[in-house]
Amino acid sequence: MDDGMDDGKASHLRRGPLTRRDFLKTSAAVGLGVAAAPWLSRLPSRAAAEPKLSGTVDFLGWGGHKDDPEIKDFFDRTGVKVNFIGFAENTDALTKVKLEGGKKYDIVAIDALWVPKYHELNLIEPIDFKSWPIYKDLFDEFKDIKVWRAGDKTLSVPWGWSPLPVWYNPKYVTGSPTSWEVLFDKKYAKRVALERQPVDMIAYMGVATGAKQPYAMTKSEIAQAKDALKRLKPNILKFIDDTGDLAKAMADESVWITVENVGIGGRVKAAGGIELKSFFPKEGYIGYYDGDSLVKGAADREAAIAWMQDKAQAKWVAMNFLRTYRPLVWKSGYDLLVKEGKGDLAKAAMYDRPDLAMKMIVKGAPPNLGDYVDAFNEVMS
Amino acid sequence: MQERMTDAPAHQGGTHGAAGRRDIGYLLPITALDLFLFVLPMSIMAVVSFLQVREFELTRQFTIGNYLFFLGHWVYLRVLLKTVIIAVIVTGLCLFLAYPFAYFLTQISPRWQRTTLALVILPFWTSYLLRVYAWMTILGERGLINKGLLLLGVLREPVRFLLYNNAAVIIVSVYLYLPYSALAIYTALERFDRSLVRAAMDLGAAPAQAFRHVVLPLTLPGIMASFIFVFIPMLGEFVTPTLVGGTDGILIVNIVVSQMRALRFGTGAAMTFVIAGLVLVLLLALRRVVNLERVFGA
Amino acid sequence: MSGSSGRKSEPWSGLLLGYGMLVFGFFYLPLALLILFSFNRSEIGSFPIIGFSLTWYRELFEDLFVKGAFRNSLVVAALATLIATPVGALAAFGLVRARFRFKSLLTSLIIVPMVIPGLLIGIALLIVFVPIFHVGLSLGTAALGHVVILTPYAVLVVATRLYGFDRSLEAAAADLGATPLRVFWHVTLPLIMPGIVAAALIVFTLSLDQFGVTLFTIGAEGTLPMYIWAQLEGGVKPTINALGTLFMVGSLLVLLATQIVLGRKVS
Repeated sequence: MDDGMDDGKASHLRRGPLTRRDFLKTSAAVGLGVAAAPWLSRLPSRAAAEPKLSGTVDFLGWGGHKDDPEIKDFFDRTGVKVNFIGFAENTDALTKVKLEGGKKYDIVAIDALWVPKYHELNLIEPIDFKSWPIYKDLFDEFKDIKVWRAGDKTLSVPWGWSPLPVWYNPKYVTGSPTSWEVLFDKKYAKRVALERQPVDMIAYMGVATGAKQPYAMTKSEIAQAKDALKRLKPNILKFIDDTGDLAKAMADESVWITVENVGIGGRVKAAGGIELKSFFPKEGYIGYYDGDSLVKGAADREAAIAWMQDKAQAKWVAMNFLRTYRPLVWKSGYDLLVKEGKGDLAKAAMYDRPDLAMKMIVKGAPPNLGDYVDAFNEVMS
Repeated sequence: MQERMTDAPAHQGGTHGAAGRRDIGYLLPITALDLFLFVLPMSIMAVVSFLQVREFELTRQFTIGNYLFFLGHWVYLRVLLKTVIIAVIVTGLCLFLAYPFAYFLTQISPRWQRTTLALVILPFWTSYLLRVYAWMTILGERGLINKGLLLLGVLREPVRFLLYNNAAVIIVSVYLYLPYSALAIYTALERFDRSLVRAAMDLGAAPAQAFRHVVLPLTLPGIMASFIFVFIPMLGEFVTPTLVGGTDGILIVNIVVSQMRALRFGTGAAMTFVIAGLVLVLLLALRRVVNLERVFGA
Repeated sequence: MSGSSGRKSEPWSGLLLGYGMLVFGFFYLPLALLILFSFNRSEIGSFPIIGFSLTWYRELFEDLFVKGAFRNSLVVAALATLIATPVGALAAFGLVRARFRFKSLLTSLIIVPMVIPGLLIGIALLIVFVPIFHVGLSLGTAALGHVVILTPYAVLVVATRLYGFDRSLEAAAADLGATPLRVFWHVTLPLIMPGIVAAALIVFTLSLDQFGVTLFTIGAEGTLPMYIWAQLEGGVKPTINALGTLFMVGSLLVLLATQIVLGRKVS
C-alpha cells in the first residue's frame, strides 16, 4: 500500500522541472504518507468486503462438508487454500486433533454429542457465532443447540443432519422389512455394506438388540451388541469410508442393504442405480447432526472463520445438497432450492423438517469408548 | 561380494592399515542417523509399551496391561497367527512361481537380458497403492475376470468370491512380492554353473532329485532373500488387507492401526514391538544361516 | 555364464517360454488396466469401457489438491535424497574400506531399517515425535521417516559401485604427491559419481511412492501417496488412473536414466 504511494510521488517528481515548492510539497506528502502508512494499510482491510487473508485452512472433515468448486472459488478470491484431510470416524478425528491440535488442523467436523467431548478435552474454541452474518440463515432449530452451548458462544457451526434409516434394493430384498433383522438374513450374505465406524456399528447393534441408550451401553448391553455384530459379519461385504463409494456399490447392485442418511437414495439414482427403498426399524434408529468446530490454537484462525462463512452461502449450500441429497441446517439454501424449482427434491429429503433433527437419538461419544472399540475389533479379528 | 569385501584391503598390503581404521569415520553419519531415528524410537516405543494411557493421555505409570491385552486375547493372537500363516503361504507361492520364471530369465539371450530384467523391475516402480487398487478392478463383481467369463459364456452370474476375503489378500500379495522372489532366485541361479545340473542328470538323477540335491542348496541364498523381501513385509502389510480383505481378511497391522487411531499408544506400541521383535529374531536367525550382506549384495 | 548353448537342448523350452510370458502378463495386466481406464470416458474409473477421453488428464492437471500433493511429494523426496545420498555414500565407503571388529553387526544395523515394515517404523517415529517430544508433524518429519528407510538403498547402490573400484589409481595419485583430499576430489569422486547419481535417483523415486512410513509421520500437507490413499478410502475419482499412468511413465524415465548412468562402467 505505502509502496504504491511512494512510487506515485517519485514518478511525479521525475516528470516535470523540479521547483522548490514542488519539492517541499512532495516531501511533505511523502513524509505524511510514510507516517500514515501504518494507518492506511490497516484501514482498507477493515473497509474492504473481503478481509485480507493468508495461510492455508487445514480442514479435518467429511467429504460432504466441502465442495471443490467452492474451495476453488474461495482460493481464487482470497488466495487461501483449503486443505482437506479426511478421517475414518469420530474416534479417529478426535485422536488426530488430540495429538496435534491447532498446529496441524484449523477446523474439525464433529458429530452431535461428540462436540461436548472435544470441549471437555479442551480441544476446540467456542465461536461467537451469533455475530456472524450467516447466523440468520439458519433454521431456528439450529440457532441455539443446547448441548453445543458454551456461555454466549457456540462450540460448533452446524452443517448437515439426517436420520439413518435402513436402505435396501427392492429388486433383491423382498417382503417390505420393518426390522433390523433384515440385515442378518442369511439370504443377504455379503450384500450389506456399512460405513467403517466401529463405535456407531456397535451402537446400531445395540439399538437392534433393544438398548435404550446406544451411546451409553452397559457391559452386558455391549456384549449383546457384540454378539449381534458377530451374526452380522458374514453378511457384510465391506466397510465403506465414503458415501460416494457406497452410492456406487448400491448403484451397480453389488450391495443391497445399508444403513445410511436420507440422501443415499438420490445419490444412487444419480449414479445410475434403481430407486431404493428405506424404512425406520421398529426397534429404533440413530441419526446425527454435525458441525464444524474451530480447533483450539488454530494456526490460520481468521482464514478458517472466513471459509466457514463463505461455504455457508446459499448458493454453495444448495450445490452441496444437490450432490449429497441430505438436509442441511441452512434455511437460505432450502429457499434457494425452492426458488430454483428443486423444492420437491428438498422436501423428499426432509430438508423442510428441521424439527425432526432434534427428536432423534444422535451419535455421540460413549463414556466407555474403549469397550466399544474393543468389541468391534474382537468381532472383526 | 563377501569374498571381495575381505579381499580388497589385502590388495593394498600393509600401507593402509591405519587408513582402514580411519575409514571408520565414514560410518559416523549413518550410525548417528540410525541411532537417533531408528534405535532411539524403537527403544522409546519399548518403554511406552509398558506405560498406561488414561483419557487419551500417556501417563508415567508402569503396566504390563498392554501386553496382556494383546497376548491375553485369543482374538488378537489369532490374527497374529493368521498373519504369519498368510505370510508363509504368500512366500511359498512366490517361491513356487519364481523358480521356473527365474530359470526362464536365465535362458534369455544375453542381448535381451537387461531389457527383460528391467521389465521385471518396472512394475514395482509404479505406485504401490494403485497396483493394489487395480486388482479391485480385476477381481470385483464387475471386474475383468467376471466380465470375461460372462462374455465367454462360462458364467451366467458374476461370481463374488474373488474379492474381499483372505484369498484376495493372498493373490494381490503374491502379485506385489513375486518380482522380489523372482530376482532373488534368478541371481542365485545366475551364479552357479548349470552344467552341474546337467551333470547330475547325466549321472542318472531324476529332475526332482537334481533339484533337491543340486539346485536347492545352491539357490538357498535366493530363498533366504525371498524370506527377507516377502515374508517380512507381509507381516507389516496394511494396504492390501484394508482394500481387498473385506471383513475376513484383516491382518495384524490393521489391529495396530485401529489401536493407534483410538489413541491407545500403549497397546499400539506393545503390538508394534511384538511384530518388530518377531522380524528382528527372524533376521538374526537368517543371519546365522546365510550371510546377510551377501543376500543384499545379490 | 548364462548358457544360450543350452537353449536348443532344452526339451520344454516352448513350455518355459509360455510360462515366462504368462508371468509377465500377470505383472502387467493391472498396469495395463490402469492405463486403459485412464483414457476411458466412464465416470466410474473402471469397467465398462465407453470411449476414449483425455478428460481425466485435464482434470488431474486442474486439480488443486493433486498439484499441492505433487509439490509436497517433491519437497519430501528432495529432502530425503539430500540427506540419504551423502550419508549413504559415506557409509558405503566405510563398509567397503574400513576393517574393524563389529563391522558385520554395524552392517546389519544399517540394513535392517530397509527390511522392517515402514508402517511400524512410522508408528515408532510418531510416538517419539508427538507425545514424547511434541514436534509437530510436517513434510520434514515425513522426510526423516523416508531417510530412515531409504538410506540403506543408497548405501547398497554406492557400495556395489565401490566394489568394482580399482584402488591402485588412488595409490598412484598419492605416490605422485597428491594430498588425500585431492586424491578424493580428483580421482575417487569422479569414478564413483555414477553410483552416487544412481543412488540419488533411486532414493528420490522410492520416496515419491513411500506409503507406510508416511502414513504416521506426515502433517496436514499430504504427499501423492497420501492423496491416493484418501481417494481409495473414500470414493475413487477416475483421475487417479491418469495419475498412476503418469507415475509409471515418470518411473520408467528414471529407471532408464539410472541404467544409462550406471552403464558407464569404469572397466
